[in-house]
Amino acid sequence: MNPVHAENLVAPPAWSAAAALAGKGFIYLSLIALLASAFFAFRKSKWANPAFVVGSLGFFGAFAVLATLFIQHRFEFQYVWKHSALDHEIQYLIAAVWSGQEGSFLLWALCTSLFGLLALRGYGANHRWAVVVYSLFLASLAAILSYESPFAFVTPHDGKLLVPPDGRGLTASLLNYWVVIHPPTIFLGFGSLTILYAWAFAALLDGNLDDWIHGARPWALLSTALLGLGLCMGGFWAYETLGWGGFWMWDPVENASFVPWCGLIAFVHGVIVQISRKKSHLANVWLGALPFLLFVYGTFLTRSGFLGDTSVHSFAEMNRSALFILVGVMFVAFGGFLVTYLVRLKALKASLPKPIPSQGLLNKEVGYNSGIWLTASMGIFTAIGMSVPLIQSLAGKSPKVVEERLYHQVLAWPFIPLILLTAITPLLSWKPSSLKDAWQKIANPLAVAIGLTGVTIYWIKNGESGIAYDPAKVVKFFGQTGVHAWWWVALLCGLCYFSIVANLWRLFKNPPRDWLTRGGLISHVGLGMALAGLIASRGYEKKTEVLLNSAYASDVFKMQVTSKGRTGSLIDRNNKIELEVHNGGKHRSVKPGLYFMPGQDGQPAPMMWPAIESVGISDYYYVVHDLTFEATEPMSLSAGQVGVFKGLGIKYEGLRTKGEPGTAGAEFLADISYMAPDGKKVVSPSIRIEGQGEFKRVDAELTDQLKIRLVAIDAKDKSATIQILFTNPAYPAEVFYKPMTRFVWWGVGIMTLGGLLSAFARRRIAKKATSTPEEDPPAPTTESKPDEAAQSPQI
Amino acid sequence: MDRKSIVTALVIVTGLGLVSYAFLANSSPYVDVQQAKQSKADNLHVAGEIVPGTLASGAGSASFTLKDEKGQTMRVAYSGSPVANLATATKVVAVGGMKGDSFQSHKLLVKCPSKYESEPKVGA
Repeated sequence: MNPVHAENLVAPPAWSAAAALAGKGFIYLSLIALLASAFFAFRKSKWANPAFVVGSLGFFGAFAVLATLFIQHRFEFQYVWKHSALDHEIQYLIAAVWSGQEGSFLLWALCTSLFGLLALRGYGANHRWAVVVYSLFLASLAAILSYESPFAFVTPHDGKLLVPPDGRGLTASLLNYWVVIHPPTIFLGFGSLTILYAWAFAALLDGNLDDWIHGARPWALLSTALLGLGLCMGGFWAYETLGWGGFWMWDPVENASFVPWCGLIAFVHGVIVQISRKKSHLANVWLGALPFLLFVYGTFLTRSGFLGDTSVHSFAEMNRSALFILVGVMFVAFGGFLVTYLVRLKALKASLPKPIPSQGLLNKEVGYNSGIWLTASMGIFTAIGMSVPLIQSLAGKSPKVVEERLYHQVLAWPFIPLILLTAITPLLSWKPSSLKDAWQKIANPLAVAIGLTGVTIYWIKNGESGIAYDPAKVVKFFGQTGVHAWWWVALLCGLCYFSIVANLWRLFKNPPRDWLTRGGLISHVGLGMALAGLIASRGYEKKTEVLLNSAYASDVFKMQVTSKGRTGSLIDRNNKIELEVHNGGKHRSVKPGLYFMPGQDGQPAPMMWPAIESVGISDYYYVVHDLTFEATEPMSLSAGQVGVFKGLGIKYEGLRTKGEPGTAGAEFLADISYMAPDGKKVVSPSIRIEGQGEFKRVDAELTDQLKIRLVAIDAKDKSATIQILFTNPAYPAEVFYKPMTRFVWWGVGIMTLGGLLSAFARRRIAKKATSTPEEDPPAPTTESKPDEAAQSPQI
Repeated sequence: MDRKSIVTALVIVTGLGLVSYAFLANSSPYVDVQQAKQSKADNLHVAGEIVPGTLASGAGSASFTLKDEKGQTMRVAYSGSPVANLATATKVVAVGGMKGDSFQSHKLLVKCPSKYESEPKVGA
């Protein structure tokens, strides 16, 4: 930045001052209107809804002002300066709005108010308290934004500003389309959680746990679909850009959205039990509130600084007043809910309808209830894991962190029975089955799944992928008994196949009449597929590190890969390294990215973009690193000794000297003989003395792609240290083979589709239900009764 | 309180206790350089800065001098997948344990200049 000279300082332009005022004004407008809305709603005034609309629109206004500042490159605003730059394309200027702390709070408020507006007229009998709770929460977001404001100017000097000519720009690894689509999707998911919380709270206060569930259900399904899609997009983003070849690493930021998602899944299944069996009312009011509470907790955890070094994300310190409000919201939202629940418990229990009794163990209800417990456990366990740094810190101990491996070890316990339940439960009916009946229902899908697992194992061992597992890798249980990792991975995949096949079986052999149930079954299929893909692509992953260059083809798995040079300048963000891949007579071109940015102390810092090549259902994943010219390490040869490089025999014949040793112009030459394609050749790389202590190495050409360098000589025994170099730069590369990775993408697509189908089917039902109170479906006569088994995305 | 609720509560409390214990007992500690030098564990996390000019990196390996918050330094030898953006890192966390005089690291977590502080999800 320019030094602070008086002539560079300007008073804030009138335009900017007005924009800052407008932005802040919209936030204050929201704050006041929402507090008014809460008050009016409490007083049952007709002004509650209009005030809510005004308050919500305030956030839209603030967002529009901020987006305008970004598009207009108003770098006199601190937030704009920090997060954008002149050369960013329009989509990145918009994305920059939510790329920082202040903006992501604004996006949260925006998405929450959007859902608030959509749900505003749908709360029915719970309208009063739902609007009070919703408005108060949005008002606290406005209060946070008034402290954590994106509308602040850069630090003034004597009331004047030093306007930076350009912004600092988005971090390079963010500049791709995911930063544009992932945050809005996941924040829509987060925003929609507020409906469930406000409605659950209202149901508690109104003392009726029966009605709200019908209205809240479509929102819960929509939330589940959106949040699930957002989560998966985060994984895709990591996979496509970060170069470590994985989707998910149990980072606190990922966990903060995974935990509420588990809560949502538990809730949508709890709703089914409540509506069909007149049970679970008390549990459901908690399951409805928990996703929101857990998300607020996750936000607190990732913003509070308690995670400190224990996350790979860098977190800016949050404004203390804003953090105080967030903590206040967290305690009031949880404490208020808990106290209301306890105070109302007796009355609520008395008002519950008579449950439909369940018989036996092998019925849908037991399946659902176990699944709900297990899903909630996955969420709660993850929440405990991500809280370890906080627990340590509160206990005054040095920080600790839970590594990825430990999450897998703990979560495998609920996961395995859970995935089995997603397969079995849809095949059962509400009526109890005998063991024999149940077996008849699951035997066929199970057999198909076992068959598919066999095919997978055969393919992994023998197919194009005969490379794709490490037979020596062992998974240990309790630190003791080990099984071969590839068997364990096959077992986990097999469980996912079982879930896929069982849900397809139900979908086609015994088709549900409504899209709600179909959507649920489809979600299960997608989930099983995505999980199978995640498990296999990680478990059967094979990685190789190789030096890619133009001098010779390097073996990568069963392919030969040659580098063809780069497509642009090394400081161009879009520079790619062109690789030619030969595989059984077929040629392909793959282009991973590599460019350099100014790093610390002026050192160029390499930035990499992986290239992903999909072959069938599997991916090859290429990452190239900082270029090198060194084909070999330096090797020391004594006279007459032969060094071998890539089948090229290099014989060191001996050392010659030109000129007077020790004086300028003297030259030491190493005579090297080797077999060139056109016969034996001798070349003489040398070291030339240039003057006082200075010397120069003169390399000799071996082929048009290789050079040889005399690195050092030993005057005593006349040995020489030589090194073979590439004429063109070579690229150290990592190549991953990741089988079945495409399943992740297809699975997520199918899962989201299923969730949306259920959500929108549910909306129609919910509307009908408001006109005619939903009757209990007639007692099941056959298995295909209008089954409330809307199997929603369940993990 | 009926019997069912008590049993449920007991199961929940025991379960949460066990899981918390599993996580706390097996999680990896963050230590400073001095503590790292005295420890024999191999899952230590040491956070610090790379001392400018000490970074030497090749394919699949890197070595540098790490300076922690207290200003203590140690040599870190890293082997594993090449780490993207190491040279721009303002802060790194080396995971591993002492071997002889140097800290052998099998995993490096890199924090980049925090232009992007808080939006969810930009993994390692």
